[in-house]
Amino acid sequence: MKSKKKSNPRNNRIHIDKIHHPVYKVLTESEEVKQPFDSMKNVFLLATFLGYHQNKRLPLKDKVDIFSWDVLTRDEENVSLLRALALVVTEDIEVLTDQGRILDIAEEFANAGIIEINEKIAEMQENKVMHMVSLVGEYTPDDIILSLTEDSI
Amino acid sequence: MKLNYITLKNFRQYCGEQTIHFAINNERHVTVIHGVNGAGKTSICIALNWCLYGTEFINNKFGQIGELVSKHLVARIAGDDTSVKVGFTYQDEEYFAERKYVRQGKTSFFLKKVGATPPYLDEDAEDRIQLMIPKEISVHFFFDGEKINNFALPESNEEVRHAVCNILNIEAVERGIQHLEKVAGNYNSELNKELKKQPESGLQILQNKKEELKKRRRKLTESVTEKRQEIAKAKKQIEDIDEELEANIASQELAENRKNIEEKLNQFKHTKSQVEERIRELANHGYIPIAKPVMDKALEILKNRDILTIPEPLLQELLKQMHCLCGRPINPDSQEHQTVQSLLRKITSSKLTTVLSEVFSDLKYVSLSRVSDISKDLKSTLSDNQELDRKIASHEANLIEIAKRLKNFNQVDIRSLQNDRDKCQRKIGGYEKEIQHNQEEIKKTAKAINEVNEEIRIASTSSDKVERLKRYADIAEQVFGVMKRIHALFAENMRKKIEPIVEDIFKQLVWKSSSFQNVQLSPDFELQVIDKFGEQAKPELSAGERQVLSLAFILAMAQVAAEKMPLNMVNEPYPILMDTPFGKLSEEPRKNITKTIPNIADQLILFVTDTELGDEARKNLNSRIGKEYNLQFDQEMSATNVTTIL
Repeated sequence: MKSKKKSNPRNNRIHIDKIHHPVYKVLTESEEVKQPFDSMKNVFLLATFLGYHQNKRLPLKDKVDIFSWDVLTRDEENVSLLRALALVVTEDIEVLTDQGRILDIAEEFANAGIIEINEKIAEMQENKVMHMVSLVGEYTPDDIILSLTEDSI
Repeated sequence: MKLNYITLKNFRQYCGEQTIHFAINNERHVTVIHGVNGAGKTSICIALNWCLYGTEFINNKFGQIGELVSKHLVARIAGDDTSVKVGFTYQDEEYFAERKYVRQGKTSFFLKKVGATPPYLDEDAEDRIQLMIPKEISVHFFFDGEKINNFALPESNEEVRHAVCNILNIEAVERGIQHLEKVAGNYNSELNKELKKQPESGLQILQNKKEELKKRRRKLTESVTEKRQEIAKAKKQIEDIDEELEANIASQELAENRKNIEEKLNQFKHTKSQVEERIRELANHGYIPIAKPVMDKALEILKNRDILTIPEPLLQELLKQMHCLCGRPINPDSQEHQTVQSLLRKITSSKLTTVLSEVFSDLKYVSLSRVSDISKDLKSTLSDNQELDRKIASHEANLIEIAKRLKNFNQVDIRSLQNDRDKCQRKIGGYEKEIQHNQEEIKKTAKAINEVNEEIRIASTSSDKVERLKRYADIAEQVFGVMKRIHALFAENMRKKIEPIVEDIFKQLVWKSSSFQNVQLSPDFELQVIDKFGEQAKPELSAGERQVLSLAFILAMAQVAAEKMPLNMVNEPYPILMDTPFGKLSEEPRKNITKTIPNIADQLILFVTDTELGDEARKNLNSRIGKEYNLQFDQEMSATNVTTIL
């Protein structure tokens, strides 16, 4: 885990690697068919936690911003999740109020996680939603699956 | 027979007694009598025929010729001494026949063989003459120029046929034909009278009526049969339509079922789209369950720290109200008061504390509730989706099955089927009415037939005579037909006999024989000249050529007539008297004919006008002329005088 750092002075825009921008677009934008993701924010968050799950962080090489922090704050739980991620990654309680660090950490995980999303969803020609569901199911922790199974029993 | 002389006494324009002697020498057997038009040439011909055959004959032959007695004589002497005497040689015996005008058309006639007595008188004399030279045949020896035209004229078949039949000398057959025709006519006339006497216009009418009724009954019966067939056909059509309608009811049920299934399917698909949207929405938050380990770890970290979870507004409200949440009062400077104030100070001094608190509460909520909700919802929605897929698949399979079954039905318009069915019903109704009507008519017709039968039975009793007359008339007509056929056979034989003779003579007479190949007397008695191309040349024949053709026919007839003479006169010479024969001939045929004719006839008497004999023709005849006369008409006396030239 990274050591405690001072507050990150970066702007409040969320960045991705330019190379992955088409994947974001494919998964969110289409005039004809409804795409699996409502927003780039949802793609970003899924990519972030997939990256964490895979324990992969990739620094961004050629940044391009896709939305602002304000988009995240429309649903406070999203911000909390990213803070939790930063906390878990840094184990530094101060990180919770450091927006810059939180975003940096999330961006690097997302930069790794988007690759999996590209392979498992974006590259699929048909029924991207069900591929997304499948991916979610694949990375959902077993205890949740188990509890659901028990419930059903 | 050879004519020796003719003596006319006060006959027509011949006043007094005037005699013409004919050439009888074998070498010079041609007599030429010249005379301008109206000079009296034809009168000599008439005189000859009158003498031998009587007034009736010449009227038939020459038409109404007027008074026979010389008008000049009548005016002058009012006498009745008019006669014609003809001297001739027959079978080497000399005869003379004399006919005298008595009064009011009556004549006396006698025939005398020279040197023998007594003479034959009147009917006896006429019978004798008839034996020597029958009057029917005589026309072929004594003919005028008009006749030369007649036979070769277009559509002169009847005249030719008549001439041929005339020469047949089968009077018995002809008389039989005439008689039978008359007899058949009489019977028919009598039959008609008898039929008119029959009750209700006669038996035939009744028979006709009966036939008509039977015909009507037959038609009505046929119509009934036809209509019954039509009814059977219409009933079969109705059966077919009913079958089709039943089949269509089944197909309609299937179609209804399909509609329900389709509706359900649409509902399922709609639900599925909603479910899929829900899945999509849930999956969009799929990062939350995935973030569960992060949340769990973060909560663990936060739990180990002394993190206040009481929100600042709550602490502020507690201090303001000075009451605890449980309702107990908070006394100033009490421990509870100091604790709340301490907590408030900590909060206000650290923004971090607020964030910690928010994150903690959010994570707890999300971790405990949202993760589970999303996962459960997703699972349940996926299950719903699977169920929908199953239902959709099942319904679609049903639809395919229904579609297959519907394909086996003929797709028809039920309304149009129903209309067709109604039409058939109406047709049947109409036909049944017609049948009923026709059957009534058949009954009426049968009754009418019975009535007519009764009438026929009554009428038949009086119809025996009618039947007999019919039979007689039939027999007479049949025999008449047979006689006609016999007559036609004779005529046909004669035609075949005459044809080659005509051809032979024509070839002798015609002046450009190379142009013509043949002469035919066709089965329908048309004289035809066949040209060198084998085509009938008659339409293209000139007037002169036609005259030559006609002349050939006449001469042939004379030749045959001679053979037909009674008493075996086959070798008996015969005269030919020709009245103005060359009138319409040009110089060329005239030359040819005058060269030929003397060789054909044993005695030739030619009446010619002043222009008929040209130099060349005359030259041809010169060596054959034995006698030659000129007829001079005296205008003042209105009489003709015969002057001898040769």
